[in-house]
Amino acid sequence: MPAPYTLAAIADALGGTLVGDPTLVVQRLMHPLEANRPDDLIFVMAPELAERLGESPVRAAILAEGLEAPAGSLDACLTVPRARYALGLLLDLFERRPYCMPGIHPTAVVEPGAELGEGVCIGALAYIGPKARIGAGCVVLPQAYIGGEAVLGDDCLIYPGVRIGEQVEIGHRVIIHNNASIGSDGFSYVTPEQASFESAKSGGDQVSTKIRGLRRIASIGTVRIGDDVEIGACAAVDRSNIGTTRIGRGTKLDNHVQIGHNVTIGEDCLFSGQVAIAGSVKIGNRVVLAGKAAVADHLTVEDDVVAGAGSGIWRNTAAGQVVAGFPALPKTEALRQQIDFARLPRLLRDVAALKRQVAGLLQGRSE
Amino acid sequence: MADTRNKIIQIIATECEIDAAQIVPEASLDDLGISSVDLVQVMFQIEEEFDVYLADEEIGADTESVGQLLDAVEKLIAAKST
Repeated sequence: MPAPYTLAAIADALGGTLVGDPTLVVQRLMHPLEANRPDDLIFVMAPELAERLGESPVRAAILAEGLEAPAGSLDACLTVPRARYALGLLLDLFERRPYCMPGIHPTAVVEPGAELGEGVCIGALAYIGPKARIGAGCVVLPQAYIGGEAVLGDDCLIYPGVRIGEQVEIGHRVIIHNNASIGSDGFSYVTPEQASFESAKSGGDQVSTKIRGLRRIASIGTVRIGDDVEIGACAAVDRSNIGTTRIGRGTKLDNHVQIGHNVTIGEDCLFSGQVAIAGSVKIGNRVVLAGKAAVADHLTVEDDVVAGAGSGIWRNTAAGQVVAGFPALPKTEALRQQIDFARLPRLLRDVAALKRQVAGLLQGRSE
Repeated sequence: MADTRNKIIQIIATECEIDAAQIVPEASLDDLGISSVDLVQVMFQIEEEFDVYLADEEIGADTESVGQLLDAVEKLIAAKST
């Protein structure tokens, strides 16, 4: 049910403690600094914003636990624990899904043999390939491409410009944002003899072999995306050479994430922008990779690993480790190296001073 | 020692962009929003200011409160002057 909402309805959805008038009606959810109407609702998580509530025209606010509104500044106030979680629930109430005309737009192309479930919306200039199956309630926005024999579960939301390759399988309630590419070919090449990139792994500073002709390895496999996965704008998930590139249920990929061919990713993982996973990597469940973290090919990153921003994972990583740095190390060691590096100038000064003292002592002894 | 404490508190306030009034011995680093990366920078600035080296066992992952940090640095400075 869209807005307006009473504060009682919002408290029912979010939990927490409501003080004041439960019948108060709010129309819009606004940022605290942008709210300008008495029927706006704001969500306050910062103490400095709570202190300024008296200056705002709003009559109702949701406050993170521990914050207080100035006396008399509100008619209704809902205090919630775990504020960011409550914010997620609240935004569900106010979210407006992108508009798409029900049915198939006259400029869309639906090839013979494609099956469209009940209530699907296919936007302008979208393409649905032969024998593709689109589940009930799916919204495919303008200019999206769904390849032949691809499968979408129910209630997926496919944003404009998304490309889903042939035979790719997408679960239920999957959201794929603008211009993401699912199922393009893997980055896979081979040379007739051992190439520089192979000998470099075990060799020294100079290559012992060279590249003499790169042969393409075709990608005849596919991609399978689990239920409730969300994939960010311009992300790319490559199809496998043989077999399946897999993304497990509930995993979320941010914008510009790259998933190489034959990768297996577990459930409920969270990869931030520009994370890059090279081919054939295995990633467990609930793994969190912060922005620009990268995993080299054929490695295993076990369950619950957390990698800091810019981490370069060059080795297998055991379950539950927190790693940081490039190359990635256990976080404590990475931080220790950081401080050791920062200490170097002072250490060099200290060593120079010691050398002068020792030289003075030796000179005194020789006289 | 009060002067030492004030300097340390000022370093924390500057490096972590926190109001110095909030940096009291009983405050936890977590509650003040001081991350492990912030703590590295605080340690480095303390070392520069007092010309000491803080070992891992003195300040590190186990340091949970401002009081622990103050005590550790004061102990080092006292040892240095004896």
